[in-house]
Amino acid sequence: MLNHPLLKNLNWIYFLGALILLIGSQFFLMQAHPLFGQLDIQQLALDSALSLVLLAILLIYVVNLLGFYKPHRYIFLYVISAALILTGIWEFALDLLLDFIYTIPADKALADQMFWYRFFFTSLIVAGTITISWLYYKNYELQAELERHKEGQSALADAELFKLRQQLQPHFLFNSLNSINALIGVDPPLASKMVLQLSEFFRGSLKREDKKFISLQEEIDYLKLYLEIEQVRFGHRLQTQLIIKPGCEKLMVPPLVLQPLMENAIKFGLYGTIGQVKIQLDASCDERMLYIRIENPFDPEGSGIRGTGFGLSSIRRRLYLLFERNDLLQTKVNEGLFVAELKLPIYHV
Amino acid sequence: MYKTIIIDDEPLACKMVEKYLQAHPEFEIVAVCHDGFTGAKAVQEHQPDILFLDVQMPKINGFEMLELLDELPAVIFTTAFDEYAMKAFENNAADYLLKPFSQERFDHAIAKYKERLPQVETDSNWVEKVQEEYPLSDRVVLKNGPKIHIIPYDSIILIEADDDYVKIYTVEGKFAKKRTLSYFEKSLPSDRFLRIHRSFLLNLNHLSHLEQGENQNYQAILRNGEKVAVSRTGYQALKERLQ
Repeated sequence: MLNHPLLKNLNWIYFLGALILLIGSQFFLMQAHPLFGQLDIQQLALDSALSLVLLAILLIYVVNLLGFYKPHRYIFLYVISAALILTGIWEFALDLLLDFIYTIPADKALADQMFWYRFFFTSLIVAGTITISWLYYKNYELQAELERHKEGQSALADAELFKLRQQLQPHFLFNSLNSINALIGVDPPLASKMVLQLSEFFRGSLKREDKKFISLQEEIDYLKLYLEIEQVRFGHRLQTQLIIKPGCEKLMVPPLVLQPLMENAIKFGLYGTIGQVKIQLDASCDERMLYIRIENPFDPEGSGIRGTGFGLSSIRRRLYLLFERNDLLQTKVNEGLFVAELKLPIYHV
Repeated sequence: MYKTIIIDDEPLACKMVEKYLQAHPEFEIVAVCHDGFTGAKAVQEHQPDILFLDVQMPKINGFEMLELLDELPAVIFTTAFDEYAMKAFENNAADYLLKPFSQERFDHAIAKYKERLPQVETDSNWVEKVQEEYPLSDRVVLKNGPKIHIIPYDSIILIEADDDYVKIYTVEGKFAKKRTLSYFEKSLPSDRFLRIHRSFLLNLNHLSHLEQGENQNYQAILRNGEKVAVSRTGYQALKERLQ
């Protein structure tokens, strides 16, 4: 009901106190007045109480109304006209009520002389209340806006941090550094080669996100870089084969679709099974589609890898956002092999 | 002489440890393994004094491998990046080396090992604690004679206390493991597993319905038709959960 923050936080005891104080001061002012002082004390008291209570009700209504409608332009005009109209309504209502207080026509005539005094002071009070209330409301909105903004900022920062971490692939990075550390002793040229590959890989992963589409060749080169590093780490077990049909290399593909698929294949091949791991990628194309098939050994008992997660759902989501299709990535388990089949509509860019 | 086994799925990582160990000729490397299964076998065979053990390895991780052992040698973990595991090591005073590590750091770990050698614990208590605090995987690994079984949490139906052991009833059959029931109560996900009796921990996904038997006692009827006793507090907990 009470929509305005000023009313929501209103302390009703203070409000009543202020009202009574106002009624009292009006009563004493009128009583001390040479003209209105002639009127009966009881009548004056009733008049003060009635007029100010009526005003209070009106103001609460107006302030509450501001919660639903706030002008954003011509504010000065709005305040003035609202004050005048509301005061007019108030005077009209009060006039009707005063008939019940001043039963003697002469008294009523005397009271009527207060009309312009009342009008002037009341419109000042109404205008002031509307202005304060409007400012208060604006401030409140601004605060809420600021808070939302702050929350949004921190959510964004969290997302950024997560992305950065994903990019860094700490497990991959530190294990590769460990391999390099070992190679420095046994095979310095290979150590040097691996440092360069690792740098190129991470530079690539930082750069590629800016682009919307890259050529399949570029993506494959990047995958090879990754595979070669893994080859040094797991040389004894890892075997990879990339077969690209001629003519498909120049097709454009979105980044970060092929690579996470390959990472999954390697992760689940290397950590989910024991022994030789053969990972095969086949790419072919026709005039409408690019078909990519990635195959890795798979053990349904699972690798128990936790936290690293199977990123398939996020790849599907990405494909949906890019092509508005849900059927582009199919996976199946077939005699100890995990097969991911990806279709990419060809974009002529 | 300290008999030493190195277990890491990356050959170069094993080489690194071997190289650092050259500075400590009193350590004799009796085996180098690249996965948890051969690792566990080598440990049973050689009864080493100390293990250098990687955490993330194919099929079963380093912790799961330790669970397969009857007697634990001293362990120094080598790991690249496992947030959870690192926290667990710190809480439980197991030593670990973060890859890549230096000869100095390695020597320090060796010195620490020798220092506390007289009182190296041989019980598997700390492995249990680590698993309890930071379960790295959602499955139970156990040994049944020469066979190693990997049981995903989903296929566990019921766990029953049996002295020092528990009996694990699964979709594939019944297994025994040397653990307490309260260990499983703590480490298994509490949204699925509920202690319905002093001796029973039930996977709620396998519960069909409840039945009232004689003397006001309830029985849980499982999806496979088996009946399990439910204690009064167990019944209260079940009622709360199923609402």
